[in-house]
Amino acid sequence: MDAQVLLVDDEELIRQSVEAFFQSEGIAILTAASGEECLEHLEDGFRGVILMDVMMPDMNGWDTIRKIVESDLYDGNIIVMLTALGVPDNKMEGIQQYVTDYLTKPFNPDELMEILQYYFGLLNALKPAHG
Amino acid sequence: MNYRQAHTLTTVTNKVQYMKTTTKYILASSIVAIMIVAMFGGYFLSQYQDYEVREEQEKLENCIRTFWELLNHKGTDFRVVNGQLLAGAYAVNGNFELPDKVQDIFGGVATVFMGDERVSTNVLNAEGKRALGTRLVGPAYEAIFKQGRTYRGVVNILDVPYLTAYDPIKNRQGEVIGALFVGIKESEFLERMHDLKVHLMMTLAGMATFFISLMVVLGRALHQVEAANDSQIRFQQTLLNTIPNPVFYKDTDCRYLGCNKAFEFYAGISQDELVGKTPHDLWPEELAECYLQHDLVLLEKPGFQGYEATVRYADGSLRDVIFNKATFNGSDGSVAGLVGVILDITERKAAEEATKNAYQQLWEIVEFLPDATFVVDKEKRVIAWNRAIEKMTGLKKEDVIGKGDYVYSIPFYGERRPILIDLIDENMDLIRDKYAFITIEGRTLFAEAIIPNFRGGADCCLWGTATPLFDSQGNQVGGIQSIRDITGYKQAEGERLLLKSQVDQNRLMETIMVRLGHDLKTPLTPLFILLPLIRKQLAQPDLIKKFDICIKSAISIKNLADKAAVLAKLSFRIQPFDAEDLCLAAVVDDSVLTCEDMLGLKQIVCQNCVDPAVIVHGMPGQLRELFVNLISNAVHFSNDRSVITISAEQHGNALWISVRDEGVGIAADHLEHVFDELFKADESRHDLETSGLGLSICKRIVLNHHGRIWAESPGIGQGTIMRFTLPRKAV
Amino acid sequence: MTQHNIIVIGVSTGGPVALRRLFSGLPPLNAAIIIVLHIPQGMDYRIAKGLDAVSSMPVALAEDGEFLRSGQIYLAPGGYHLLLAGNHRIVLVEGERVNFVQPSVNLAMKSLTRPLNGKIIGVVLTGMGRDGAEGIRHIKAMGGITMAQDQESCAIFGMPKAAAETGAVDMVLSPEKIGKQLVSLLH
Repeated sequence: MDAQVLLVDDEELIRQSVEAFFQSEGIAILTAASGEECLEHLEDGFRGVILMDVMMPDMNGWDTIRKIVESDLYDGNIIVMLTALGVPDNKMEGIQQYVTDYLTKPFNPDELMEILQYYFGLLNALKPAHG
Repeated sequence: MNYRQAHTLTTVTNKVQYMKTTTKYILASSIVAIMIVAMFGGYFLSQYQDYEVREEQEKLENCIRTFWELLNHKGTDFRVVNGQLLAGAYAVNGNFELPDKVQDIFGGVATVFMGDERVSTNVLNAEGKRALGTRLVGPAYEAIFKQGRTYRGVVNILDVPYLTAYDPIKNRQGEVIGALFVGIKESEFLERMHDLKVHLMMTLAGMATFFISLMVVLGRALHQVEAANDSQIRFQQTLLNTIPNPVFYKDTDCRYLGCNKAFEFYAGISQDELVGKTPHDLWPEELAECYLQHDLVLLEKPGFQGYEATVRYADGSLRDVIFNKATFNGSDGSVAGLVGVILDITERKAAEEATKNAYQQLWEIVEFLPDATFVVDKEKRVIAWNRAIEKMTGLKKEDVIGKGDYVYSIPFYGERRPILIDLIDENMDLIRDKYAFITIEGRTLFAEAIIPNFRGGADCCLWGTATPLFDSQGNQVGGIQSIRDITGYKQAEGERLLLKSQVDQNRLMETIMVRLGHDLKTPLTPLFILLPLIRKQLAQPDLIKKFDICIKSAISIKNLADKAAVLAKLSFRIQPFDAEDLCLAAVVDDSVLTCEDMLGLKQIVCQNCVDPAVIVHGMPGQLRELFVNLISNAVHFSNDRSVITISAEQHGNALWISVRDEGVGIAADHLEHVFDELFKADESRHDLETSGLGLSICKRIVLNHHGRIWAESPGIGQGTIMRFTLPRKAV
Repeated sequence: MTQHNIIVIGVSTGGPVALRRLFSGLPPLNAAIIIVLHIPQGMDYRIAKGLDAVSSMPVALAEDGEFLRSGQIYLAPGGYHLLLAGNHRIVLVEGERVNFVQPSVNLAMKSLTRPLNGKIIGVVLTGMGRDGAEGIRHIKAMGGITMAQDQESCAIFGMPKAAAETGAVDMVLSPEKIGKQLVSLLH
């Protein structure tokens, strides 16, 4: 089964716990410890919901999104940012339309699941034929 | 310069005057000369004519006498014999010896008549032959032959006028038997006289011509000079008139000779009216006397003179002026008068006065500067030593002012030595390198120094600043140094640093709290994800119960972290007061709506009793948070189906807003502490649902609005009133 | 012609979920509803479809020149600015981003004019930035009703905060409560 979720977080504990959670829910998940790894997965053909940590060393979440958009790898994905800061981030300016949602850590796994299901539905929607 | 112009002007005027006089003089004298010459000539001519006539008559007499002599020499007995006139034996007729001899001696003509007939003569007839046989006619005949006397007169002889002398020749009987005649051609004499007259007339005419030409030439020259001078004068006058300063000139009697327009304006009279007047005619007695005295002094000692005076212009304004006067010389080199220029220095004086005042003020400012201050001139002599430095050093002004040689260093160092102010002339870069303790800003130096045992007392820390002073041209004219005793300040500085460290500590606390809030969330994330996951797999009820406590704790930690972050944000950061006018009732409504779920759960009614007309000045977001926190707090401590009332009332100048519940109330000794951070009425803090930070956040928000918040409670179980003040609408 | 009640909803990050919360279980309203969501092309139709699935009212991407109908939800497509001509016709224009975004909530809201009858309601939901604040001020100034999502329910309390801070917001509520308010405002 193709993975539906890509978790990008430099924190190993979070990667492990989220992975465990999704596996228990029967959802295939990929993890990336950095923006570079995230891009590699996208280049390998991943399409789905990307859960992306904002604060990462080297390339942070915003820069990663910019790279994704610049590399034409956005289409078919939904990006959800994960952050511990409950405040808006000015660095988001200019790319906010690519950020579908913004979750504050620690997130409630049930809420996360609900949201994800909705996004999976959106991703499966077929493009209507224009006439 | 004005003096010179006036001088030139006067010289020119004199020259024209002189020219005019000369011309007149020449004219007059030439007329006189001509008249004199004419008169003298006429007189001379008449005299000369008389003389000539006399001369001719004498000559004639001599001539006829000589004739007689010659005849008498021949014989004295005259008779006519045989138709022959005889003198003695000498026969006259046809004998031309005697008449020709007379002619040789005297010129002219001579004749001997026998009766009235010419018998011996050298008178020539028209044919050029001796006119013998012709007869004597006219008055001479009458005189000789009728009256028997001599005849003298002008007679035409053969149509030629002669000066003639006729004498009768008598015989012994005394009968006139003939006549002797001599004649000088009158034309010769008249010719001479005529020539003379012609010469005289010519001389006179020449003289007249000369004088007339001279006059014409002179007249023309004078006219040219006058024309030239006229334009020059006009130019000079215009020049004078363009000079904004009043200019005048006077003669040696101190009478005005002229002036320019500015002077007319100043004096209020025209130049025409001015000319010929003395100062006494124009000015008030005292002023006139002053002018006159100065004029006289100047005239007595020619040259240049300047003095100040206060005068009243014709327009009534009082002006301070400088009079510059100078004498000028006439063409003969003697003093001809004086020229004066009036310089209005009212503005300059006012400016000087202002400068003086400014200086005075400056000195006063320096004098009353709270910092000990002194000012030095270029030679580092003290020119100002203010009150504060007198007090600091105990050295009085009079002991320092005007002195140099580092006198200012003595009270500080007990010796004469260079101090900060002596470095202002140095190269700033050099100073920077040489004196590490000196800081430099532009050309201003700052330094601190410890003066041990200052004035016999304790060690003293002095702070000084010195800066050069420049004039308006940018030349350094001195320097100023201020000295401050910062011993006390240094101590205060220590305290301030302590305070600052506390502030820094607070900032550190904020950072720690924010970081903690943030950093707690990361490890909480796996807990939040995994705890529910694990719980689902638990089967044993007691294990589930214990596990729920773990979950609750995790939630509690999360709430604490959230609120702590909020509080840190509200407390430590400087909050921009982006306040606006808000309808308080609407804010309350809004907040109540937010708490609807919470209220609904306990079926609590929240009444908004705030008058919709009340407008407050505040930050909407923070006020909403404030009300939500107060309502949440009230709900938390209220029983089901109770009522929470929110109201606002004017209390003096302030607006009091209250959130009243019917809940558990607060013990009197807790009232003061409920707003403290992490205070919980429940001392054991087992209440996991409140963070203990809610009211702290409320307090912080009210403080951010420059208000105050307090709690009132009649006692345990009798409800609580949370009250706070807010600023009303900005006026 | 009949004047519609018009609701303009401006939203950004966190928008799909907030909109779902707002429209789930919401009965059909007597209003034309225009949603301006900061969204890239290629994502817009997905959101429309997702929303259509939970809403009692039909949801479609707004088309240029389309006339507004009550009981219909129009989602502004990505890559255009949406304007409302004469309060009743949709105009899509290409153009520069305004305040980093396209479509711009401010542009859409400010294209509205004071209606002769019918209500105009402006809503700003979750999102980063300040887009919509000026639009809300405009709607309020026209006598419209204004709402903003509360901080608690927001993924990012940026746009609603900016809107609320203009002082022109009548109510600050969760999406569900906004839905309830809409129902009570429009009977």
